[in-house]
Amino acid sequence: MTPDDGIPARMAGALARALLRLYPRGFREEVGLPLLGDIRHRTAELHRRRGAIVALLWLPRLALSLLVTALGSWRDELARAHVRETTHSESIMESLLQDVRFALRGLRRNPGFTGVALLTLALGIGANTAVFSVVNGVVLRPLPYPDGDELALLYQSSARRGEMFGRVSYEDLRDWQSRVHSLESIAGFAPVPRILIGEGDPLEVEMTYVTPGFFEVLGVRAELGRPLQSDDQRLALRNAVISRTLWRTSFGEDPNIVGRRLVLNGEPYTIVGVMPEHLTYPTPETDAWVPQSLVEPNMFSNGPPSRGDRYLQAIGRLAPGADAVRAQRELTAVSDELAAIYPDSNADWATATVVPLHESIVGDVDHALMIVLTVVGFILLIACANLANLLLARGSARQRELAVRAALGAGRGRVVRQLLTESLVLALLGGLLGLALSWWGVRSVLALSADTLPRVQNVHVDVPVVGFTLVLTIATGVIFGLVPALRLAHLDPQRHLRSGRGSSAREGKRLRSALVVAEVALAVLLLVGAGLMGRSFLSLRSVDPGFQPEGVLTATMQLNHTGVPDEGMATFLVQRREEILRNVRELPGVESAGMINVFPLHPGGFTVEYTPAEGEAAPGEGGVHADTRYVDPDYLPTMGIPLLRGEHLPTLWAAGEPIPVLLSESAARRLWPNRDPVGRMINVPWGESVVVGVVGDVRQVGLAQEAQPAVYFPQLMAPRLMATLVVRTTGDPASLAVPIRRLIEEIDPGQPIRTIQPLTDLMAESIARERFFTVLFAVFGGLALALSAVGVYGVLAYAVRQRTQEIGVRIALGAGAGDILGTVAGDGMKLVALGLLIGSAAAIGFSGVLSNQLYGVAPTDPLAFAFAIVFLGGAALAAAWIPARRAMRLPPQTALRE
Amino acid sequence: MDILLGVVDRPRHGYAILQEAEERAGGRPPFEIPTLYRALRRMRDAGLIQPAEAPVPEVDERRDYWKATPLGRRVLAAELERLEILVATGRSRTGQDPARGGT
Repeated sequence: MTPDDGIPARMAGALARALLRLYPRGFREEVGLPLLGDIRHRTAELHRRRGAIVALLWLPRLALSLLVTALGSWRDELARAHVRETTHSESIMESLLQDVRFALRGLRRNPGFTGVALLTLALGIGANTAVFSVVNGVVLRPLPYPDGDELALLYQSSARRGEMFGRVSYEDLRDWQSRVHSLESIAGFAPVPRILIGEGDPLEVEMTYVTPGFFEVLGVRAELGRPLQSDDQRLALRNAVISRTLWRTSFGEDPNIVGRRLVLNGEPYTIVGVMPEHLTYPTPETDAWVPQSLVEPNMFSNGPPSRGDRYLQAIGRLAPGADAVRAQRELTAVSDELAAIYPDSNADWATATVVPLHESIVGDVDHALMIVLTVVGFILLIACANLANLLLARGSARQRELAVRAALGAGRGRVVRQLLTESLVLALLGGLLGLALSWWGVRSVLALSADTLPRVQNVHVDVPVVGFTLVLTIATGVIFGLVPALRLAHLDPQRHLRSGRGSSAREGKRLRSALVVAEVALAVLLLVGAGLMGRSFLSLRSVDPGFQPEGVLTATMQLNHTGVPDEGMATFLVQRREEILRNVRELPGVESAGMINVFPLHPGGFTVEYTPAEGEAAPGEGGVHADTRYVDPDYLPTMGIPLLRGEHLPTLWAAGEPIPVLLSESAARRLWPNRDPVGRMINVPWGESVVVGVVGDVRQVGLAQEAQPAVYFPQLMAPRLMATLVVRTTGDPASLAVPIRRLIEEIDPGQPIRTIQPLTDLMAESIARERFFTVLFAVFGGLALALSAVGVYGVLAYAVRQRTQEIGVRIALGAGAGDILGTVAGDGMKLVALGLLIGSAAAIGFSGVLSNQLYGVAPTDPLAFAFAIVFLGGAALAAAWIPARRAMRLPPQTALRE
Repeated sequence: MDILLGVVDRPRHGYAILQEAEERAGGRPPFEIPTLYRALRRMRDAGLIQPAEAPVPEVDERRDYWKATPLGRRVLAAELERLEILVATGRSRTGQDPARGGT
């Protein structure tokens, strides 16, 4: 045995082999073998020179060295990994920058392609950003109150009357407050219009009576001074808090505003606080809040105050852990108990409804807005399809370049990355343009919406909107760029280098065709939607409102009664109305003039239960819940509301005689379905009245809602503060606006006029929201049409270019112009036809989504479908015609040379 | 430094570097074999040494030979210069400077 294979050497080898397992793999692989060899050699040398004992004694030192070095090697390995990572990411950054530079250069060199692409992107992304801004501001943004999702509106409901959203009386509200635990606080409020005198021109403002805790429920603190407190209510103190807007516009932001006097309708209040700008409840126009205990008797009722005076709206904050469902259950239980305890006033109101505040403010507009957001999403998809086609066409021209890159060793992943970077660069540039466009788009949308949308003050192009745009832009770039990138990266470099020209005439044709079919299908969907909305809107516009709007001017005002004592109020109001009417009737051009307290198509007014008087009802005849209106005798003839039976209201009636009333046709039918109502008596809140006539139904609430039953009383018997003057003219009603203003100012310089406009304008306003959505759909439908026509054109123009030689050969062989035209256009129209078919089928499926936005037209209305197909087919035909015609006119020699 | 000294004049394999260092240190090696190999890898990563072909007569194909890179030479030169200054200062302060005629 030699020292080389003696025991110490073998032991050293075994020890080293065992401890080497502790080392990183890299170390073991690189130097493991030589290390082992040298350790054995060293041990053998020691054995030879100094004996086996010394060699063996060296082993512990060796073991220690191996252990310590193992630790050190791991540290080295970690350091190496860190350097590798840094170098790797640095090289990724470099190649990314290279790709971006390359992409920008490519875009600069192809201005035509770049222009079309950027425009398409800007329109698609801009439309989405604009609509999203509106959706974000109106629907998504939380309420400006702390924990706004805990707030809810509370209503009493009557199954018998078919009324879900009934108001509550003060007494019922107090019972709710004490007995309902799933709401930690409840408050009531009642807005009323008032006239502010003494701070500049007379101004109509909105004042709201509020019960204690109203501001606490909302979680709003006063900006200056204090909110109303329980003592204000308890002691009926004439204190008020005002809005920031009123403080600014009427009080010049006086820093000493607290303690100043506020005079509304001649009544003085002391200002105790100023509310912040974001308090827009109950409406953004609310300017003053006063204690509910200041509500005067008869302000909201027709007799002494009682539990039946339902004039308050109620708002509550959910207790921790409670939800709207539980609150509704509890409120219903309490309402049911109250109905049993107080049958006279509460028998009909045994249930309750709870609506989250956000929902009540936003209303049903969120559904329509979401549909519009989907529509612009589809438009973006059409734009993406166009861009993908453009890129595929352009990519075919770059096949050689890409083949060279692949041949030089660029991996597929690298090529895909480069192409995708180009798409993303294009998308980002388009997105920037789109963002700029959207700023203008938002303004247009808001102008078009004309106050039909709630919370528009929140609509801005702000950070969430910019974030949305960024995400959308990147997604767009990936969507339209990925498929062409994958396609082009998988080309066989050998084939393309050899052939010398693009040979993908057939490759990719299927993909391009599929894209065209897809965008035509989407466009059909949108055009059908636009068609349905258009038909619905026209249907709405042609609804008979029950009166003749042409030639009528309206002026709405709250009669100024400053300084008029309570006992003389009724007389004053009657006389003031008579004075205004008398003077207006004398104006040149006036055919007739009348007045009503609450105008049709305006919110307001109240409904009352009317029943036949004792002895007047037969079996089968019942009561009716009808709108109550107070009119002067000329109102109905001026409005052109037809008198169907009996007579108009008289100007006067003898003392002691029952008060005359007119019934609307539907009210008469409900009260006396089988008998003539004229001359019969009905029960009214103050006794009995005699029916003197029946008039035509009028759409009281809006054109889209069916006519409600109505009862008309002479305004003499209960003159109201609110008055709408209606004036029928021989000429243009707008021309009377100035003379009427002047006339009213002469009668009373302190009388503000809320609105003065032709009745036709008022009617247009009442369907402004429907118009808004119809126009949006039309605009976007048109955009979809244009984009898909461009898509069809693009694909066919490209196909003609690719087949130039073939066409030349065919012409040379005697093919007629008609044949060529037929082939080229025919190919295109086949795709379009397929797209129309698929799109129509999809539209049948999706149009149900629109059904609750439609009036008078079914979601599968054939005319709307026909409109979409004809328009799109026509546009596509025109788009196919141009390249087809060009192909037809190619001189064969040129074609063959290409 | 020992490793650089060992490979600056001609390529050597690891064991030869160890033997040379042992000789310089008067029979006691300044490092053990595992330490040597770790150091060789680190110096290669730092660019001070690089793998080399063996000088022909000594070819031992089992072993990896190493030589100093230009950077390695510069680093060694700088280190030697530093040590020279250190030695000169030391001698002068302790009166051992031959030029001064000390012991």
